[in-house]
Amino acid sequence: MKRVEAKTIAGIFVALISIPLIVFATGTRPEPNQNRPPTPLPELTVEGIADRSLTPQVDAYLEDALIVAPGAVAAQAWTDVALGDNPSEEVTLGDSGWLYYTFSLTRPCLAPADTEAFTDTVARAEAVVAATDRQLIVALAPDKATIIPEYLPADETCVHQVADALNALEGPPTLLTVWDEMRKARANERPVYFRLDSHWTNEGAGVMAKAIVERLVIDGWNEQAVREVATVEHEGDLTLLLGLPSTEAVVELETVLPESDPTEAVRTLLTANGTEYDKVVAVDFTSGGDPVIAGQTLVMHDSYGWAVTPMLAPYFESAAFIAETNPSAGHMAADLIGAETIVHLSVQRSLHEIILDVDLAASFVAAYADEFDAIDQGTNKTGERLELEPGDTDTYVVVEMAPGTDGAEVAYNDVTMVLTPDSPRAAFYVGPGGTMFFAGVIDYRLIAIGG
Amino acid sequence: MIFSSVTFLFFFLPICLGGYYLLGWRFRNGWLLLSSLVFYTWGGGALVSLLIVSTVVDYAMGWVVASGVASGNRRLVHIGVTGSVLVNISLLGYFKYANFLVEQLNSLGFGDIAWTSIVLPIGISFFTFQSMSYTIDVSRGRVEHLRNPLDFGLYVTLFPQLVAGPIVRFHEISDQLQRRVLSFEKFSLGAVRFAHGLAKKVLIADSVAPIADAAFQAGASDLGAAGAWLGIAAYTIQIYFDFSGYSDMAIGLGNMLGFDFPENFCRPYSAVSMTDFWRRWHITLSNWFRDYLYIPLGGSRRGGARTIINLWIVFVLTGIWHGANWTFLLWGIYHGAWLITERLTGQRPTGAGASWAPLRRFIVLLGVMVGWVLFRSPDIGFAAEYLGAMFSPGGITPDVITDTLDTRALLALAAGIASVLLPGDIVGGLLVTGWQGLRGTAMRLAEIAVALPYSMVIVASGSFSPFLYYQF
Repeated sequence: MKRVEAKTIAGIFVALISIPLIVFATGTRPEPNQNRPPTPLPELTVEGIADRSLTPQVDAYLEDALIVAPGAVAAQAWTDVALGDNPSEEVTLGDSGWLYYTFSLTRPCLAPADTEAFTDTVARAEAVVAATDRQLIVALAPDKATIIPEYLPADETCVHQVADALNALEGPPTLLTVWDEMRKARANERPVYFRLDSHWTNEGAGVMAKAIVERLVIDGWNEQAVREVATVEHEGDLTLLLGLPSTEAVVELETVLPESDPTEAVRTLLTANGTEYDKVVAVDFTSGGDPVIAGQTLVMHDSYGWAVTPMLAPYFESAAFIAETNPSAGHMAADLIGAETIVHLSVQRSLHEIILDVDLAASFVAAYADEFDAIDQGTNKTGERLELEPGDTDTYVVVEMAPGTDGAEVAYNDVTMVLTPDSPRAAFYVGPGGTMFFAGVIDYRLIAIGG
Repeated sequence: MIFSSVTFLFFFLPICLGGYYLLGWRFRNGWLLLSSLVFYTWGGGALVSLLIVSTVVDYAMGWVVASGVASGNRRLVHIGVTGSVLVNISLLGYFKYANFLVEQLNSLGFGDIAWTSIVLPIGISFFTFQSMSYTIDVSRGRVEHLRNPLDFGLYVTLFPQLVAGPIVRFHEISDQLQRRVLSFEKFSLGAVRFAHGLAKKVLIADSVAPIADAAFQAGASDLGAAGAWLGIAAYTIQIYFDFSGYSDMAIGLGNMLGFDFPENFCRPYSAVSMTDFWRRWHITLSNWFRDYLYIPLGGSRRGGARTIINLWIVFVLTGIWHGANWTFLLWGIYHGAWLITERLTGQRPTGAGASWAPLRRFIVLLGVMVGWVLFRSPDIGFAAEYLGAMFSPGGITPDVITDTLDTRALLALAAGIASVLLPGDIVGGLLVTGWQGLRGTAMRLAEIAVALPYSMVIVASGSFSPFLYYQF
């Protein structure tokens, strides 16, 4: 090997491995490209090194801090695209550049028993909230694939079957679905869903906002109040998953009601323990004028709620929009108690996780337990059991970690709930022939709804 | 820490090399020792203490052996070697095989032995073998013992070959621990070799791994013949490119630090007999067993029957050296049977000039692939079903396998197959570093300026884990 060749090779090698380190040492970090904050540097401890828990965290920190990481991710993704491969299994590549969230397409079909369980759960939730003299709306946002199916690469039958089954449901009256309205809205000038994002646009969200308003106040929606804010470049979440961040132009909309003078304030939630809960923020709105919908409203929502908020908020005299869908979460307690109307908004694909698996009705019972009279109550400790039988009406058992304890667990019908000082309470719907098991010191009370 | 990680490539390696070249000779071994301990601790945590204890014990045993050699006291030599072997085999036995042994005893009904599973220390099979080679080489008077414990510590822990070899016998490196040459040429050859190994690992091995994983995770009884063959072909490519790629990286790193490590692979899938295969596959392990077990047992000098027994012993131990499972034992026995059959029939050519070379290569490769089924299977029952699927025509390839066949995986598989089947002078392989003239320069520049950056892109993007719902 000639000396010049040796020097060239050594120079290239040293440059390739050391330039990223030098950039790192200057404190320069890449722009986050993973839809999450970069992994922080963990606290360095001898125990962490010894038990090997520290180094994976440091690895993750260094991986996120590597200046070339976003470029490398994009290069890999482009290579996949050039080879005709899909850079991410989480994204389904549709025709004409349309992207779909694979998870929404791979959800199982709804069996008749699932549909029955869903309507039963929503009806029970309605009964629970009604028993506290409050009003509930359970709103389901359609998955993008059910409204814009023509770009799907294959016939994804289940996603449509679920939509059709939910759309065809008769009652309970608290349930709000907008498949028909959304399909009609496709004729509008502005798109109802993003091409590169899994969510709906303000235009699509407006369809749900209108449905919510009109459910609460007949003819309450003011179509003329929808205003264009600006045309912005929206970065598609699905393009982030692909590793190829890119944007599409979209017109942002908002509702500006002539009779209102709205204010908006961001608020930090508090846990049941009184500590700040920083994973979710609440945004409080007041209309400041003559409100269309009177009283205090709480809108609990998933990510589909973000686009709904500017369309819907001005209609309320006072409303809190909180990105949380579980009513039994400790940090939701105060807002639930203060609300007269509750809107629970989630997307079709999360139906099992958000409504069925957690039992939305039982979660509301946990939140409003103090407003019901107990038909039985007691305290159980680790190892003790509670045999439960349903009464003539819907019966729930509310469990709460005893004051002064650090944590507890309750298991019932294959579901285990972990109680913590931040979220000390949970509830279960009592079915026939079940036994509840306890770990820790737990107060329980039986509550009957209706009848 | 693994070589194909962000932490190693972009942080550990530049800091280690930078410190090494900035420091004077007096401090370089100490710096390398410190770097190696950090390297090991990164993945091994508190188990680094085991590595340190093993090193201290073997260094002490080396003193005992050296004292015996110097004074002509064979008893002292015997005590030192026996002590070293006992300590290392005990460590290996306890940490690598105790879980398996207890599991077998419990399953055979020898009581219900209460047992907390032991964590396997990274690289224990390698560093125990290297440690034993030190005391044995010193006992044979082949080399002098190391007076500086830091030098010995460096020999045992040297990070390029600490966790996956090559297994460097002490006499192969003893001089280099104290005197070695650093030059632009050696550094550059090492860099090219490292790039070559990294590319083999991340471009080929990691790309075909999903095919092999899918085949071996699917129920063997559901595999069609095509799926089973595809899976084992992918695994055959994966294991070679992964292991030899790692060895290339280790050798390259050694070069950059001034060391010359022994070669570990030499186009093993070109072997014309299984005997030939074992001279080309994991060469340093074969050499270790040859020098420290086969030859001391008498090798082939004590008649045919004893030779066969010695071969069995070596291959049974080779099998279980790879892991505590009946599949590895059977794999060792399987290869032992091949070698013994070749020895008994006289069919054990080792050169390219063997008659019927293409046919021999085909048969040996087939035999090696059958062996890989044993090696890769979780248990013998699965292996039997998998082999049944391979040799039963028909069946449908499950979707879990066809889903892995994207363009990247197929290209990697094709490139891997081509590079092991095409003649060595076309493919180049490790010879790239030794090629002369314009072709060599072009290949080396391509390795360093194309293959290395692209491999780095794959490594740097490997941790990409975005969240759709983070804001929520």
